[in-house]
Order: sequence, then structure tokens, then C-alpha cells
Amino acid sequence: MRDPNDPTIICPALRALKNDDQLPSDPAGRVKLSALGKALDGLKFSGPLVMLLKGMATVSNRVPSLPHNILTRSFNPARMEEGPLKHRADTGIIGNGDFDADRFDMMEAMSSDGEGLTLPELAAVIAADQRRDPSLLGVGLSMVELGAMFDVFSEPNSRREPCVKLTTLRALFEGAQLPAGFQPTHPLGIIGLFATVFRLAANLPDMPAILFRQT
Amino acid sequence: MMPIISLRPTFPTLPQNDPRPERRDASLARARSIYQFDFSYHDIGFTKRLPLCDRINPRWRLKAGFFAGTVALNEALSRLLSPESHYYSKQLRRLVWKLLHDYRLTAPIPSIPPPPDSDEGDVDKRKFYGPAEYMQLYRLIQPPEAVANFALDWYFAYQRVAGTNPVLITRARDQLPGRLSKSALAKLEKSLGKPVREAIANKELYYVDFEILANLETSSPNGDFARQFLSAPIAFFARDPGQSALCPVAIKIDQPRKAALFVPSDGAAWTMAKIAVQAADSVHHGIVMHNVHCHLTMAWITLATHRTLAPWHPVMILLSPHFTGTLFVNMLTKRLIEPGGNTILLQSTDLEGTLALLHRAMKRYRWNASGPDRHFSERGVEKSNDLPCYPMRDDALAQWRATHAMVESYIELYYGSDDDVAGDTELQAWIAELQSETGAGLKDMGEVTDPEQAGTLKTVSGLVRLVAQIIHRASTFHTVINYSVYEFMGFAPNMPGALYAPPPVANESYGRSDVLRMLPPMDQAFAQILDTYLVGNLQTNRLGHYPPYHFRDPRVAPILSRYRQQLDYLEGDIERLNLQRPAPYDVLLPSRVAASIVV
Repeated sequence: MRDPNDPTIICPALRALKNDDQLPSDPAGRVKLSALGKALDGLKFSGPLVMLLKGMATVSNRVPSLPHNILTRSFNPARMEEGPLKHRADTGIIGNGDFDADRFDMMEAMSSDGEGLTLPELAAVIAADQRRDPSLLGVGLSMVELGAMFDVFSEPNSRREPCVKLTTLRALFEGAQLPAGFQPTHPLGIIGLFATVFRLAANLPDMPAILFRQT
Repeated sequence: MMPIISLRPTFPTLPQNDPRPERRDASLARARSIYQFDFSYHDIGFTKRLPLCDRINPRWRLKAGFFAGTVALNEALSRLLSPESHYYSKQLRRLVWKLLHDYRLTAPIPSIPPPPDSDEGDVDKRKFYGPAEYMQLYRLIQPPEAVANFALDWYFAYQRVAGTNPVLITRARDQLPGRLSKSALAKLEKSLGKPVREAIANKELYYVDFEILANLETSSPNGDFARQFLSAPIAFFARDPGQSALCPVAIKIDQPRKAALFVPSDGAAWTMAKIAVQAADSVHHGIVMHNVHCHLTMAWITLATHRTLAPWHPVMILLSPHFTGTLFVNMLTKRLIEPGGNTILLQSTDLEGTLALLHRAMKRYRWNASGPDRHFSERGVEKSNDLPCYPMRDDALAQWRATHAMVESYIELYYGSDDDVAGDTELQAWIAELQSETGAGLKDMGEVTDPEQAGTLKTVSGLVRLVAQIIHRASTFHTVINYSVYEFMGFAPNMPGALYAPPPVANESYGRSDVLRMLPPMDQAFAQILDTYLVGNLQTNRLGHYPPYHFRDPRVAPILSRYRQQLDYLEGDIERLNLQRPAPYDVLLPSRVAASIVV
């Protein structure tokens, strides 16, 4: 369990954006939704997707603080695991605020070429993590988290398959930085993200069994 | 599995008190004609035939059918959804087209090229799979527990104390096993961070030695492309001062003095060495521990007991529920080690190597030394300050104490003094049959307290220990070995049944593709899942629960009730302990411990 005053952001993408000075915050660590929108625009997210994510950010903190979030049009990215969406950085790699080398090594172990993780390999990471955290919400959020990461950061590997390079993942998770020289190459919209999440779900080996177990 | 009502003819009696000895003799003569040893298959003792009352019941078959069907459906679904299936569907379309062409209905088509990434061809051309592709093999069934941590060093070490073969970890006491060259010793000490002598003195150095696997013949079940390899590695583990868990520090890849030694900083070569250890552990688990130490041993004891103790002998009454299914499984075990059997197909050794290993294991097997408490003390890990984190030991010893107490109370109902034991002709025939070369042939049996009494059974305490150890072997020990297989061996990248490329050698550079080369082809991986899922789930009885009306003696009920209560308490204790362990060890939760060998 994290210290309630721990200012670490456990979402790898938001943490990297903040460290890249793209996500300015007030002394209490709160980030304006407009700043979030600007940062996501920089990643070439489409307008509707930015709106959706801003909405999700608004309801990402504890329920009693939601009116404050709505009135001030801001949120606290360091406290997202306490809200209704329970964004716990579901890969578990920085779930406690610190970098968990074991969980990162397990993610890296799923790469067959040692270069990067393709979509089926990311699905395998989620499926393996299921044994650690079997909740359906955990699986769902992992798919969105890794799906978005795949859409933003994927690039072709030596076999010309899109993959997220391990160096990129290490920069995001361990270095808490955007990959060196990163420039978004393609726009990302809601439909594209859903398509990626759907493809991840289709590649999730025991999806029917997961759903069956949860119901 | 168990009969609902067991028909015991009379109240339990000792032979010296039986009012009708002639009926007893006739019953034993009949039993000796039914229960016979058969040594015709390479001098390994099997049951000659399966007596009617030892046949397996329909409930077992139903359960086995359900699990086999589930895995078969899982495999069908996995194959259907695999990328290779596109190739097969293309092949099917081409075949249909070819048939149409044969009947002159279509134009000719080009010849069917071989699949670009098929399993055919020699080892260098075989397609290798990454862990993510092995993850695609679980479409209907839950992936094994190992998928969450298989690549981690701490998990590799944890499997030595809470895995599927957690009975080999040994504390280094005077000298290290095998022979280490000077450079290997220096490398080990560098990885250890201190001199070996100091680590030994501080009780911080441990090892697992697979010396028994040295120089065995390996097999090629599907031709050279799937040639299997095996080494006899020694893995070294250390415990930091103040820490309870083990971490691996070095692996000597084989027994010869010059064999390479790898340490965690060796990158891909270290991963390959870990896989070599896991494969060796799998072979040791399957052939030595599971086959010899559980199935064969219990089959021999079952046969010897039926041949020498009358059905209403109190020891026979107590033991018979723990023999349920043993002889049926003994017949299945024989099929595993026949040509084409699963052991030959899935494990590194070929038929010759398997038989050689079986004989080595049988020759070395010592009954008393393998006792529930002694096999920890012989390895120097009996106490928690010898090795603080050893979940299997803690849970198994707690069960052993409960079982021993129950057996002691039960035996004391019938044996008031040591003279009763010495005067029991059937018990004396039993201990002789258990040790006879034409019978069970077990070594190091009998009294343990007095070396001069070795091989004899003269005391109540000796009888209690023997009976309790038989129950422990059929239940707790077999559960440790059997019901954990799927969680560790069900995922081939964690524990392949065999190596499909040679283990690493010194001064070579290796990459990730060399690691993947060592893992099984998909057919073998599916077979491994089928085998382990079926074996690891098929439980039809439970320790401490006996068939209704099995015991006619009303004095037994409170003893069994107390035993069950102790096991229930133990269940809660283990669940509490699991919260503090690096990973939960559920295998020995008493509710999951089978009373006998049914698979």
C-alpha cells in the first residue's frame, strides 16, 4: 500500500509527460485538464479521445474529491488508484511508486527477439499478470494502458512487425522519461484505441476463461 | 474411488488372538495367488494382474474423461486460433483444389510448398517459439501459476523449496558436490561475494545436485529435428545473512570437472543454464521421485501387504484405503516407460536411459532414510535456522506429525506392548516380504532407533513409524510430487520436460534465439500440458476421510475425528503462512491432499 502523501505518479505515460515538463502541476500536485489536453494533443491524440481521457481524468480520484475536480477542472495524477477507475498501473511495474525490476523482467521475458514486444506478446504479458492479479478490472485497465502505449510508441522491428521497443519501455517505466528523440508519427483516435484493445483481447489466450471465472 | 461400504468380514484381530486361524490362513493363501509380483519387464516389479477389487471405479473414469476432454478441447481451440492454422486452412483449400483438378474440373495449381516455419526439418531449421507463443496454448484452461514469474531468479530458487520437486535442496556442510576447477571455484566465490568456506560455516550455501542423471542416453522421439538433450547440472544457491529466501548464485552445467560454470551475470547463457537445470529437475521428478519413490514403492508395499496381512488385520484395515487405486496406476505407470510411452516421448531420456535411471534410483532408494523427517535432516535442512524459507518442509512435517499421532493412537488400541508386535506372525512375514528380493525389495527398513535391530520389526514405536510413513508416502509425499505438476511443468518455458538443444558451453556467446532453441516444439508442449493437467487435477479422495463403516471398531472413530480436526487446524495455519511466503504454496493444504495414489 502506498503512502497517501507519496507524490509519485504511477501511470507511466503521465509520469513521463510530467518529467518532460509537458504536464505542469500546482504545489499540491494537481494538474489542470487543459494542460493534460495540451500534452495529449502533442502525442497526436484525436480531439474526441482527448475529451474522453480528460473526462476519465476528472473521475480518476477519490469520490469525495470529484466535485473539487469538476469545479477546478483539474485532477491529481498521483492519486489515481484511489478513484472509481482504480488506475493502479496494472502491469505492476511501478504500481507501488517504485520501479519493480522483477515485473519489468517478466514483461521483457515475453519478447521472443529481445528487441521489442508485439501485440500478441503484450497480450501474453497481460495474461501472465492475470495469475498475479485475477480481477477483470485489472485485465481491462492493463489492456487500455498497454494498448494506448502500443498505439503511441510502436515502431517496426527487424521483421517489420509493429512493436514497442524494450528500450522505449525501459525509458518509460524505469527512466520515467519519454524515449530519447521521441516524435509521435501517427494520430491516435478512439476507434484506433478500441481496435487495439480489441486485438489485445483477441490475443489474450484465455479470454473466455477469464470472463467465465469472473462471472 | 473408494467403495461406499467396505465389507470387512469381522472385527479386527491380531493373528495370535484369532479364534479361527484356519480361515485366516486360507484367506492369505488366496491373497497370495491373486497379488503377485511380476519382474518380467526389465527386472522392475509390477503387479502381475489387476485384481477385481483394485480396479478403478466409474467416478475416476468420469473425472479423467472430463479433464482429458477439457484439455483436448483447449488444444483444438488453440490450434484453430494459432497463426499456423492459416497455413493449414490454405493447405486444405489446396487439397480440395487438387482433388477437383484430379477429376479434371479445374486448372492445375502449383505444387504445395512446405510451410515457411514448420516444425519439419533438422534442428537448425526448426521453428522456435517465444514464451508469448506458449501462452497461446491456454484457450480454455487457466495458465499455470509459473507464467507470472518463470523468468525470475528468485522464482527459480523458490521452486527448489516450493516447486514440483522440492526434495533435493541440500545445505553445503563440509565440501561442495562434484569437482570444481580452480577458475570455476573463483567464479562461484565472486558470485557468492565471499569465500565458500565462510558461506558454509554461516549456513548460507545450498545446492541441488543432479549427479544421478549423468551419462544417460537421450532420445529423438520425432526424428532428429526434435532431438533431446540432458545434462546433470549442479545448481548453487545462497541466502543472504538475515534473509530467509534463497537466490541462485551459480550453475555448473554438468558433472565433469571441466564443465562450465555460469553465474547470473552471464546473460543468455545463464538463462540457458537455468533451463538445463529445470529440464534435469523435470526428468528427476518424473522418473526418480514420481515413478520410483511414489508409484513403484507404493505398488510394492501394496502387493506385499495384501500377500502377508489378513484383510481383518488392524494394520491392513488402516492401510487399505491408502492403497486405493495404487495397483491400477501401477499398470498405467508401466505403459509410460514402455516404447512410445509418455516418459520416453516427453522426457530427455530414451528407453535405455529411462530404464538405466530407474535402476539407479531403485538401487539407491532407502526407506528409512527417505522418511518424512529424515530426508530433511540428511540434507541438512531440517530446522528453520538451517533454511528458514522452506514451505514444503514446514507443511509436510506438520502433516507428518498429525499422521504419526493418529497412527500411534490407532496402533496402541491393538498392540499393548512390544511383545505383541514381535509375536504377530503376519507382521513378521510382512516386514520380511517388504525387504525380500522376490517381494518389494525395499532396503533400510525396520527399526530405526537401534542399528542392531535394522531390518526387523520388534517394537510398537517401530510399527507406528512404518505404518505412518506408508500413509505419508501414499498421501502427503505423493501429493507434493503429483498435484503440483501442472503449475510448474504445465508451462514449457518454465520447466521443459526435455531440452531440445544442447546446454551452454564456456566461452561461447549466446542470444535469445539460443534460449528459445532449448524449448519444446508445440506438439511436445501440448502433450506436456495434457499430461500435467490431467495428472495434477485428478483427485478422488482426501487425507483423513475414510469410507463410511470402514472401521468396525468403535474406538477408532474418536481417533479419526481428532485427526481430521488437526488437519483442519493445519489448513488454517498454512493459509496464514501463505500470506507471508514469497508465493503461496497451496499444494499441501490438507483439503487438497489425496489419501492414496489414484493417478
